[in-house]
Amino acid sequence: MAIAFVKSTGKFRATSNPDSVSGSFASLPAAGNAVTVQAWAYDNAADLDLAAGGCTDNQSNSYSRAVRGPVTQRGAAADYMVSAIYYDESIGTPGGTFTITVNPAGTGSFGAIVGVGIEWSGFAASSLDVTQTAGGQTGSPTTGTTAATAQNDELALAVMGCSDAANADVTYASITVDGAHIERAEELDSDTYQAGEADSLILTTTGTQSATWTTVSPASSWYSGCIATFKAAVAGGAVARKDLLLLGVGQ
Amino acid sequence: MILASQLKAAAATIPEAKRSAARESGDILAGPTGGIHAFIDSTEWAALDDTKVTLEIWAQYDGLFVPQCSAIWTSAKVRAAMDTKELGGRSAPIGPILSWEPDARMPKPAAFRVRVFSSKPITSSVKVLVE
Repeated sequence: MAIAFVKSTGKFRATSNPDSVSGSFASLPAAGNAVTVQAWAYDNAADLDLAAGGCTDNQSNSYSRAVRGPVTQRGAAADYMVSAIYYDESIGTPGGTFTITVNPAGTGSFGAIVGVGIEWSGFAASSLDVTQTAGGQTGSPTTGTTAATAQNDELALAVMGCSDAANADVTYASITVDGAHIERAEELDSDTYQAGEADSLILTTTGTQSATWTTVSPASSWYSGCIATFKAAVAGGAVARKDLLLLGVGQ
Repeated sequence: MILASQLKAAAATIPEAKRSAARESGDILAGPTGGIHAFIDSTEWAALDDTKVTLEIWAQYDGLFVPQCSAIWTSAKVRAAMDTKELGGRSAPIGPILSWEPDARMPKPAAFRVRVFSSKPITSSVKVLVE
């Protein structure tokens, strides 16, 4: 069974040092489906982090951090950026409005956060497969390349935050991801917010995975990137929480 | 880069005497991309202690408004951000901005409303920019 996109919260973002920022689905996700969150942030202190517990929702689901990109300093400036991917592979039965909250850690006094939440169907019960991270200065920010995936049907999620190597006061002309990745959220404004992009790719064969972006004007950026792949449920495989709910377990 | 001059009043205010009272804008028609920036315009951040301000963006689909995104700011942290003036060449912040944009493959809302809450009295207005 392949993993399939269901819906997105859209890109949510906030600036001027928010405590947290939240995004909501316009309609409720289905019980047993997965919810993923790709986020990036910047601040002016080196302890900036999208920590393991940095993503929550208002439905008592539990989000694991699949991977976090390096905390990257923009040259010698007091300017740090980070990226991360969170997931809950089988949410419970939601009610009301389903709201995801991202809350970066750190003592900085400037900060901006950008994120997007997505509902997916078809995740395996223990879905996280391979991850990779990369950071530094380049004209082609990347996630680095993972080890080979374990099975044919998987989902790759990639995210990257970036700032102009010369001066953060820019709006990028474009950020373009390679291959067949699908853009899920893009931020070009590195002045008011934090430039970056979140992408997804449905996989049908095993192999190594990566995402690489091309930035135009500026052509060179400092960045923090990461990628994670998630296994699809295999027909006749492990019992998912959705199936247990259908059986009345945990209701 | 979002300029203060690009933002227009959304008819949402928190009067000084209305502690904790929510204020909601009228309907704001969505622009071509379906994106929106909402900004809390106040000169009182420096005078506030331990005040939490929440800003929400609601989007209209099929005639119904649903919460789309929100953010919470603490006055001291906003003050610190504005005192920082600039970071790495970035422009000095004009204050708290919450923004939302739909996935390109998802339906665009027809309209927005913005709501503000404050834990203590604060005089402010909410201004918006639709894209």
